[in-house]
Amino acid sequence: MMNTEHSLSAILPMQIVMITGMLVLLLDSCIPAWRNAKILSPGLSLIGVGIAFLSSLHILNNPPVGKLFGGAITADPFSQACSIILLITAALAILIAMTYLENMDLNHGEYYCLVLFSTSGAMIMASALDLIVLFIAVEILSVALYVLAGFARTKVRSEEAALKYFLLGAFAAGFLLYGIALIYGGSGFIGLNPTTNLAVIGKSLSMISQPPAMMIMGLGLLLVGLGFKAGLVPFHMWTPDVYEGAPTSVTAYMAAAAKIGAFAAILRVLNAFIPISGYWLIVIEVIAVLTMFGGNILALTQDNVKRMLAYSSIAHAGYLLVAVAAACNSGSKQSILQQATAHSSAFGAAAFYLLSYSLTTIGAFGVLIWLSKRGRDIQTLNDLKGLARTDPAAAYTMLIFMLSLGGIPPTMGFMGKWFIFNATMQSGQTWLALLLGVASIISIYYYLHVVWVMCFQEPEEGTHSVRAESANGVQTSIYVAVGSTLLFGILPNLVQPLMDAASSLLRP
Amino acid sequence: MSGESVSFWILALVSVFASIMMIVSKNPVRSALNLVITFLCVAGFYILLSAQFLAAVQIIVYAGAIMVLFLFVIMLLNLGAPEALIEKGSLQKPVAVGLGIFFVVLIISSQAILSLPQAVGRPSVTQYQGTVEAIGLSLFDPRQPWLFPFEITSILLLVAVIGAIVMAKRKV
Amino acid sequence: MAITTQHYLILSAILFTIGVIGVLIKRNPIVIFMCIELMLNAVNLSFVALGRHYGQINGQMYVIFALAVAAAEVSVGLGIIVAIFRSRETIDINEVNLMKF
Repeated sequence: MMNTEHSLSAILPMQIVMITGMLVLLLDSCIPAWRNAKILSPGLSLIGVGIAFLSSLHILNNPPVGKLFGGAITADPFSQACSIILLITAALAILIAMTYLENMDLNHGEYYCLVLFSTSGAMIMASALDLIVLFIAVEILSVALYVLAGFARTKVRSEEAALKYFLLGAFAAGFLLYGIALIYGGSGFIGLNPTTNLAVIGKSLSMISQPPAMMIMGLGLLLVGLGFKAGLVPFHMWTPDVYEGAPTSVTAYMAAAAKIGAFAAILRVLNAFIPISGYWLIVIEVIAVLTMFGGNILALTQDNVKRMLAYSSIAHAGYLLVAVAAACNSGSKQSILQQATAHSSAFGAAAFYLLSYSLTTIGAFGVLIWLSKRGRDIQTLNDLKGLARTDPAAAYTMLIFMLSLGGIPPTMGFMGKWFIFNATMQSGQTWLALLLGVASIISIYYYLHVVWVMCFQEPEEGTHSVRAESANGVQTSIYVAVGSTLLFGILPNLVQPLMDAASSLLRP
Repeated sequence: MSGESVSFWILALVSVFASIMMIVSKNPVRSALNLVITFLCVAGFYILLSAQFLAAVQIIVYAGAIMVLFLFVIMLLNLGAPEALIEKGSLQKPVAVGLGIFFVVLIISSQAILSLPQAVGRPSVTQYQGTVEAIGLSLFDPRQPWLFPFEITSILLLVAVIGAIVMAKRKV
Repeated sequence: MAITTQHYLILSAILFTIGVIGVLIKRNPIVIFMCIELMLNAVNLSFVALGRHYGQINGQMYVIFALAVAAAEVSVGLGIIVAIFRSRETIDINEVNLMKF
């Protein structure tokens, strides 16, 4: 018998994150001394994230049984794996924000509380079993991110980024909700009490041959909504402007957290619809190819580093979508066993890639923050000229992040691409795997261009000693990111438990 | 024609007309007032669909609170003047309308070709009467999935409150 | 002619489409936002109609949550618009360069 207490203990990690957010808000607004001591809010947030991390590990090892909250949510290993990646991301984002907010005179406790709430929203996205929970979780994540994008209220670009992100995000939410309505209507066709519970829908879809048109339509609209959040190619137009306009620490967090949440949701939703994958798999494959090549080709021409990283994040969404396509391929050519192997290795690859992408993206934005002078952002490639001479430490960490993003060994990015490539070959989509290789080779050009600018160009006048003051936070974050990028790149087995957890999500 | 069909057709015509007027008119205040009419029509549909509680909430929250907020901001920022005549690229409008028509045809065809099935175990009529009692009982029923979304909605509203204050307060 | 659930679904699709077209052709952010509200309302109508068709109260539950989400979005969205107006100190909100791809 499942009672509410049982359900509550199973969602402990997200509860801890939410409660920490409320505590930060309360203490920051009520105690003036707390507000003046700049270290307390981020410190408390980090402690909360740490405790949530531990409790998430605990639930990963002792998964709860039975339905939670009438089937609204789940705490299966897949959700916990995504939560762990999200919590690592949040911790790094809080660290780099400490430095950035200090430099830009934006140091307000609300920042940390919004980061924590949006993290909890992304964690709920990864755990949602009912589509209405997914919808509200998407909104928690997005509403917090709209505000964070406009957090630098004196800067017009930041405000415009917030408005653009908000209007397109709300537009996408409309499609998401319509998709849920049509899936709700369509689920009445397949012999069950109409519901939007993904587990129930997946089970009953595997027993029918002809899915209702309304449900396919609904799935399409749902994917439009989630595709906006993930920045997939026909719906990517907001990405560069928002990434460029938002404060750099927000861009780093947004690039990682929103993508983890969106891909966790995409994986779980599409996993439930695998029985009818004949109707939508080709769409996912085409979008994956468009996203990889669109992102990479547009990134080639950028001379603004933030914008370049925005396009590169689109390309990385494409690689992740290749893993999704590999997980969901149930073509007739293969045996059931082969399909199951490809399915689980693709899920593991996606989890590994999400972790590697978040670490390197936050690290790369972190270096930009590290170099920012008080009150001034580093944005263009010109600012990085000759960095290897003026500031070797920053240049070499940036070098490692660029190598990892480009997928060059011995970094984590290489192993991530390798896992996705392998899973795609296993699932029999050879052409997709080859296109992934071609796209990565294109991307190496612009990542190495950054390295070339840093190492082989003369520094411009007056760019010496541009380090931010009081950079402890961002420094810690960068060193953690560099360390794990190299460590997991050389010893990927260390991440194996996480990958196993992610790949335990069963086909319906 | 029964009373239900007469009211449906009247409300349908008015709501479609008002929403078209909303996107056609150049004046934001007119758009807002047309949107209020559409919202009131939707409340009428809710009554026809025996969702009385939602009809009341629709009028109080949408037509009341949300539209008042819209009008308040329009007046506060003095945006009541007609929109500037700069339009987006000449190609965008026909493309948008074409896409929209394509979209509506797609949805209608997917819904209308297959007739909707009836529910498996059809409950009695009183169970879907949208009274406060029925909705409240369902909302807190532990076998139903509504308790958790209800709780996290409070987090969403908290985020929205913080966000609105952060964005709109004069100095930090 | 009796009114069936299909009538409501088709009407809701039409209203949703008008909202989409509005978002695509309007320039004023506030009006764009109103069109988004129209889209959400159209979806709510679908939910209620489908819920009645299946004899479930569930259709109405979705609408309650959608309403709360819409309210949250409105407060933040209008906050952002007010903030932009303040920092630019101009009444011409059309200048906000929204569609630079």
